[in-house]
Amino acid sequence: MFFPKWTNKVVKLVLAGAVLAGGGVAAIAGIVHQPSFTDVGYQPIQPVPYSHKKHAGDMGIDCRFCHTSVEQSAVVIVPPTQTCMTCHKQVKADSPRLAKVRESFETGKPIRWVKVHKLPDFVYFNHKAHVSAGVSCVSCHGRVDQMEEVQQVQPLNMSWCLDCHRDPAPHLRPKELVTKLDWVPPGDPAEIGREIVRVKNINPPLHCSGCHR
Amino acid sequence: MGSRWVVLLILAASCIGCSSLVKAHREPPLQIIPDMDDQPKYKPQAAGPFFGDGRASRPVVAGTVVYGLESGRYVSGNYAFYAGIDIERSETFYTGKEGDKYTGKNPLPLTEAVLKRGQERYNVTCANCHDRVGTGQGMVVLRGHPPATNLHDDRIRNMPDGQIFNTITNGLRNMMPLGHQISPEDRWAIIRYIRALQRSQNATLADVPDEQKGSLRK
Ligand code: HEC
Ligand code: HEC
Ligand code: HEC
Ligand code: HEC
Ligand code: HEC
Ligand code: HEC
Repeated sequence: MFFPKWTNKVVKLVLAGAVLAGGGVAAIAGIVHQPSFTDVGYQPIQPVPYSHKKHAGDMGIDCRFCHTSVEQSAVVIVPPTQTCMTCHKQVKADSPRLAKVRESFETGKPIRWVKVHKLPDFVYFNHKAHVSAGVSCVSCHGRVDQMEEVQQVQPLNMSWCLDCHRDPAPHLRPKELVTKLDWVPPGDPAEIGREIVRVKNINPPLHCSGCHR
Repeated sequence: MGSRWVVLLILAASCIGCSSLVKAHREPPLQIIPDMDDQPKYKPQAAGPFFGDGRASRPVVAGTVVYGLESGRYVSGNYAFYAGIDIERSETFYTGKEGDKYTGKNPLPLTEAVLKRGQERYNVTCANCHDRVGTGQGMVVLRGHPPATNLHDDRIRNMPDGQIFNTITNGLRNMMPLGHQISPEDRWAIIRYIRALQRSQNATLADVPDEQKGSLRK
């Protein structure tokens, strides 16, 4: 015999190992590919140590002071340097932590904030539609007013969008309260939501071309 | 033996893989299969290499008219609230000045809806410094901003609307310009609301409707 008897076992083992390893790799790739694993928790280092907790939380500055376009257009803007300077021309005007803001104001070169939430380019999303229907920032971005640095807390994947689109009522509130992230509904949120759905005739898209247009 | 090692290895790999993914992470999300996630196009506020300042979208040119505005009315576009209101959009509407004098006339009608809108915008912007009733004790002032003017001063009460408009647009001494973050319509609505605030703080018996006078206490 060319090979000793025990090599048969080795062949079997190697084959079994290969199958297991292949399956394992595929499984890990599958899990890791899900945005709920890859995207949730993303908290990039920003060029300026700007804190939402301090500004929006402690000082109670409304989100719309800086994110002015949120009710009017599909895209929310991250504020231009002028907006920071409405206060920081005077407040903490010499702070080294604000050096980049002053430099940007003087040179006209924008601050390069790192984008946190990012949908794939083949998805259409619209802030105006959600905010005017009465979906609060907190449903999609979490308690930003308690974050020193913004972190992604929702997966932003398709099943997450659809979960809400199938039954939006529990996530709805009167439009004026959309930027009050600590608002607690008086009573059953679904009850309040159903009333809003009825009055405003709310009907989020479930068909593919609603979000892939 | 061999297979046990393989299983252990896979388990260890997946633990390391998952633990680094579940907690907060600084690196951009992994893209194992990028599909068409990143298409060769620029989205608003994205960076691009073409212009010297690094912006892909260009800043608005001075004097640009908002999209959707036709003969004084919004027919489409962004400012849904003002769509139904006829406003004379003359030079005065954008500057607050008639010739070189400040106008005393607010181009927005005095309606409950306009006042509500003004109140909302006032609370979003001005209240941070001037506080919600206008006395100048806003959170930002309490945290080190130079004092903001009390909007109930006689000087402000007697000031023409156009001058307040100009202060919002271009700033004044310690107050920085806010024109870039408030539309002209909203500036006029805010002024309508400030006038209501001033009246509420300086009300006299003559302001109470006759049928309610009986319910007042001495
Ligand atoms: C004083 C100005 C200011 C206020 C007020 C403010 N923000 Fe922001 N926001 C910023 C800046 C600057 C950034 C970009 C830097 C960063 O991500 O931290 C940002 C980023 C964000 C992001 C992440 C954007 C991305 O890249 O995906 C979210 C979400 C957000 N803000 C939500 C809110 C909400 C909700 C509120 C109200 C509770 C709020 N912001 C109030 C200035 C502000
Ligand atoms: C409405 C007023 C206001 C605006 C607008 C504002 N800030 Fe501030 N910011 C403050 C105040 C007031 C403080 C001081 C808070 C304190 O005392 O804790 C502060 C503190 C800070 C600090 C900490 C400074 C230090 O030395 O501790 C940073 C950094 C900062 N802001 C960045 C920004 C950036 C970036 C923007 C623009 C996106 C911005 N701020 C817009 C009012 C404002
Ligand atoms: C229904 C969910 C939802 C709600 C409600 C919502 N957002 Fe967002 N937001 C998103 C998604 C999804 C993105 C990523 C968009 C993209 O990548 O095109 C985003 C992105 C952002 C950004 C970054 C924009 C950019 O281009 O970098 C900011 C800032 C922001 N949101 C602020 C807010 C504020 C403030 C509110 C509340 C007034 C709010 N959002 C409400 C889902 C939501
Ligand atoms: C928390 C609830 C909620 C979540 C999460 C949510 N939506 Fe929506 N969506 C709504 C509601 C409510 C409407 C408004 C429907 C209406 O006005 O009739 C809406 C409307 C829309 C519309 C129609 C807008 C238009 O212009 O007609 C699109 C597109 C959309 N959503 C995309 C998305 C995408 C993409 C996601 C995930 C990234 C998402 N939504 C997540 C609640 C949600
Ligand atoms: C409510 C909005 C919404 C609707 C409706 C919707 N999608 Fe999606 N879809 C998304 C979002 C958001 C993503 C991106 C998820 C991610 O980041 O991986 C996506 C991703 C996809 C992808 C890519 C998946 C991947 O693994 O990269 C395909 C394919 C897709 N959608 C097909 C469809 C089809 C077919 C329909 C109709 C039955 C549909 N979608 C309806 C929001 C939607
Ligand atoms: C960042 C803080 C801040 C914000 C926000 C702010 N103000 Fe002021 N405001 C000031 C300060 C400080 C002064 C005092 C200026 C001085 O005399 O040096 C002032 C003064 C004024 C005056 C008196 C001007 C005069 O002729 O003496 C008016 C009127 C006024 N503000 C209206 C407004 C309105 C309306 C808003 C909202 C759209 C607003 N302010 C937002 C800080 C602010």
